[in-house]
Amino acid sequence: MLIRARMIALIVWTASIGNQGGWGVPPLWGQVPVDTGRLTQPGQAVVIRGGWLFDGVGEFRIPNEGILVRGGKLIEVRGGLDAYDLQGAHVVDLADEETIIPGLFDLHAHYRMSLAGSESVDELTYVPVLHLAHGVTSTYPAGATEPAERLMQARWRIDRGEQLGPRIFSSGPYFGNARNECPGALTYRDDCELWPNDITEDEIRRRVRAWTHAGMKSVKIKQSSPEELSVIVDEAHRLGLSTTGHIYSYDNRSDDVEYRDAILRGIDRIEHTFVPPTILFAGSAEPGTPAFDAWVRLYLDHNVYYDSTSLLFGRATLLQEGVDLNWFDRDRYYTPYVRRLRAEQAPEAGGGGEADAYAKIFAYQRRAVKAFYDMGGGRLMTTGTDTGLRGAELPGELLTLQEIGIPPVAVLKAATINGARALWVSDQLGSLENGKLADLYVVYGDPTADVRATRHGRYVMKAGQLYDVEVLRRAVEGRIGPESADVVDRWQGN
Amino acid sequence: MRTLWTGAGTYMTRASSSRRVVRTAWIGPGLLLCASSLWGQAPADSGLLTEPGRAVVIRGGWLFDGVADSRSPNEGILIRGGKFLDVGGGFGDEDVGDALVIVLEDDETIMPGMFDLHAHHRVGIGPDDREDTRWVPVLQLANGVTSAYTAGELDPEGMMDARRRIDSGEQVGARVFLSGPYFGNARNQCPQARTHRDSCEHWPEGMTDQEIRDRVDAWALRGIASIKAKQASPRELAIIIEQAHRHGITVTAHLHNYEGRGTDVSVRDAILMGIDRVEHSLIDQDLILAGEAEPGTLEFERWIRLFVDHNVYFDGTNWLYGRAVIEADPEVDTDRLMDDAELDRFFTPYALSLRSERGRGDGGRSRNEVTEQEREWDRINGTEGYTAVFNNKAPGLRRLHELGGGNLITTGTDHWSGFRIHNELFALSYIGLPPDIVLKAATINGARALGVGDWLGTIETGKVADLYIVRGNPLEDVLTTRNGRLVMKAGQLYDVAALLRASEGKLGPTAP
Repeated sequence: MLIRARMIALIVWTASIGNQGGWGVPPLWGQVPVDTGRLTQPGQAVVIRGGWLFDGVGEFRIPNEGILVRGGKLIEVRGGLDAYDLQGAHVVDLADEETIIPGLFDLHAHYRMSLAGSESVDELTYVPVLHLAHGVTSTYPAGATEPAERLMQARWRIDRGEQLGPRIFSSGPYFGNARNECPGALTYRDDCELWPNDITEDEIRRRVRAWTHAGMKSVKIKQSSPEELSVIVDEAHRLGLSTTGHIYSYDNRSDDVEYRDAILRGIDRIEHTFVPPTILFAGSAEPGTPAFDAWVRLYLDHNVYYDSTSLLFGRATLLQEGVDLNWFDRDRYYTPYVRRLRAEQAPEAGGGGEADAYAKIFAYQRRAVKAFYDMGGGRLMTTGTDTGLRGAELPGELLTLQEIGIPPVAVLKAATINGARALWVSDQLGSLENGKLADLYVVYGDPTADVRATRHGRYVMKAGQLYDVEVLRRAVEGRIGPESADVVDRWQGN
Repeated sequence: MRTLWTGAGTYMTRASSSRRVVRTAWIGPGLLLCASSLWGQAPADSGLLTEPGRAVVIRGGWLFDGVADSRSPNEGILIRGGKFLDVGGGFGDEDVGDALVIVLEDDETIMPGMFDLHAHHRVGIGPDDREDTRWVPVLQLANGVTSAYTAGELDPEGMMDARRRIDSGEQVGARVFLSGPYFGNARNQCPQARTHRDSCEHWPEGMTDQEIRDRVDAWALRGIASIKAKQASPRELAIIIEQAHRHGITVTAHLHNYEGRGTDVSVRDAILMGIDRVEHSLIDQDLILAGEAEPGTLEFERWIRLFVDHNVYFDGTNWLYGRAVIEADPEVDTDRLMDDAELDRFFTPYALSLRSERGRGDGGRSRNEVTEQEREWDRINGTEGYTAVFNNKAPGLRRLHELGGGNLITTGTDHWSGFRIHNELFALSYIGLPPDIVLKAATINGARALGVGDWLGTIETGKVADLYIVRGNPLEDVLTTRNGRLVMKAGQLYDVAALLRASEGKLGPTAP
């Protein structure tokens, strides 16, 4: 019943795409004006002089000889700007301590939050601004909350310049039965009407196509059966989409899709852990053992990307150890009402069993992700947050990887060029080279020595438009979440 | 059960599963039946040797992967889920499972599927060119072109529908990367609009910045892969480029070629505005015709370096421009090139009669009154102009390659047939580019130029499985790409000869 209604909604919605103008999306309540913090006008060239440049390709930062941006693209990143007509360009002179890096990628950027007792919903008004304000110019939502159309619409508003935010490489909904609406579905065998157990191959292919033609860029699989996964992967590849999966992590009873099986069925990326949790909990894949080497080689041999979401697993451990992950006041961005509720709650203790499992996974990641890197897996590592205050946590993910022992330059590459390659967009994005799109982040300090520098953003540029990071951050102050108990419902439909 | 296809094209079955045996035996004759009974479009299983989801193993023969400079013996390729799961034979029998096993002959070479970056689907049958979306994609695929960029569509709605059919597997054909309509006033509805200053209601003068951005938005959100600009003003082009980049899509253009008098957008200006690719000519055509950018001069060098410095791709459509030169060259064995007459067999008898009325070839819109100015345009855009541009472009491409810009050269036919891709490869080879550079131009460079190089363009583990198998060694002789045997798109394997057979007598209307 519900599924039929949803499908009709999808069809109506897809049909409305042809109808170029409005499609009934009201202006967002309280939206941040699109020119907030913007230092450039559409059509204006930008020159960035001084400071340092880490281009995402080399192994070092080098003095910036001068960058020219025009038409949303990097026309020149190697200096010699005297040869160009710079009339009317916006000129930015950087201080000696500042470093330019490529715009960052968050490959596990859920927009969802649950605040003040609300349902878990995608926050599409301020979280996009927070992403930009932390240097994240490209996000992969890794499974939208239903109705997944809302996130697609946010992406379209952003691309059309009607809203401030990063590029959104849409995931569409989860492909599998891991849905908000089916909290009881913990393995693919459980039934969920949004992804029924008797779903046919044709229906799966049809859904992949419908979402692709609506703009999906990469499929997120969660709790599909092995056979369903094969069909999703096959159809996605026919349409030119990559696939990623959160697989095998829930029931720990070995009846989800097993990682090796998913890779041999053609999945392109894996989220969270790169060996099945059952195996790592059992201590059967310790670095240095042949079994471990076989797991890593599976990724190396098949060119499968790995998104470790290490902050999610390691936050509690690292905080206990005194690592400064709470480098900013999350309350700064919540409404006074949400702040009050947060103050009344006990400090984040985490829910017993899950916290314990996360700590164990992180303890393993400290050994295993480092060993994965040491065995040559650095080129396959990407960065995703999946935790905390959406949009503001990527610097924390970078620090977590650095704490694990990944060198800062490799962490930066994971967050830039590797993310672009993993999403199949590296011809345009991921590094600062002539001809690529002009997405970049200017930070105070040297992130190639310590990725903490990525906290201290000065400017962010997306497709050639330059923004002042502090102004963007201020614009979100006190804005996230319902204003009072009375408007929780309205906030859910933000 | 495992099916072996031997090089000679006969099927042998190994192990025992009667269902599969029956199925493989059925493919050949079944295809012929279908082809004659289904009017209008190639049945989805024309020439198809695999069922959805089935793995394929290719053993034997040679491999040119699009990365290395040469071919090497094929150690084995495993394809599953539409992608190259393993290239290089590092898989065991247990990984092969019930895969379809193809064993190649020693004289066969596997190469990546090719890209036609200027693949207009329009066919001249009646008085006007019209896009054929039923059979042109089949012919492209049958010639090893697995990816086609439409480069300006006459009927964008029709092309979008064709893409939907092909994507959904309803129809066989090359993958379509859509351009949407021309951005600019070069519209088929406005044949008299020869410069950006002429008026055309479909791209009216005086559009505001916002109106132009809205058009880019609308088409970007409908899923076009890259914009084709033609006869946009400098102001308009700058806006188109900037807005396209917000969506992460690229822009190419046919620039400055019509009047030949400097009134369109200069190639140099377009590159400095941020255009991603350029079609047809490296240098403003008026400068070439005026002899102001002769090879070897500093001016010429500056133009070529513009492309290298800014990483701008160049699609020369070299056969189109160089045909007269190449065919007149006594050194060239023209019998090996594709002749338009070879295409006759794909038309319906009625379409063929219409074509003979309008004169062979696809040019020549009928015009009642030819003015002096139009004669000048025809001179520039006829053999004389094309030859002048080709004689400048050939050294330009060689210089581009010498300067390290070989990775920026792509292949486009500006023709519907698919067959022209071979002539385009030959033209690049004739110009003096080494075969590996020519083959990369047709594969990985095309993929990167379209922004899809992460998943297409080479035969590497992890990429989507597009490939083409030819008899002979294309690294010695690029025209061996004419001898196609098998073609694969996203893991689906097709028999080239069967695709061609299915297309015979199909193009165009059967009666008035």
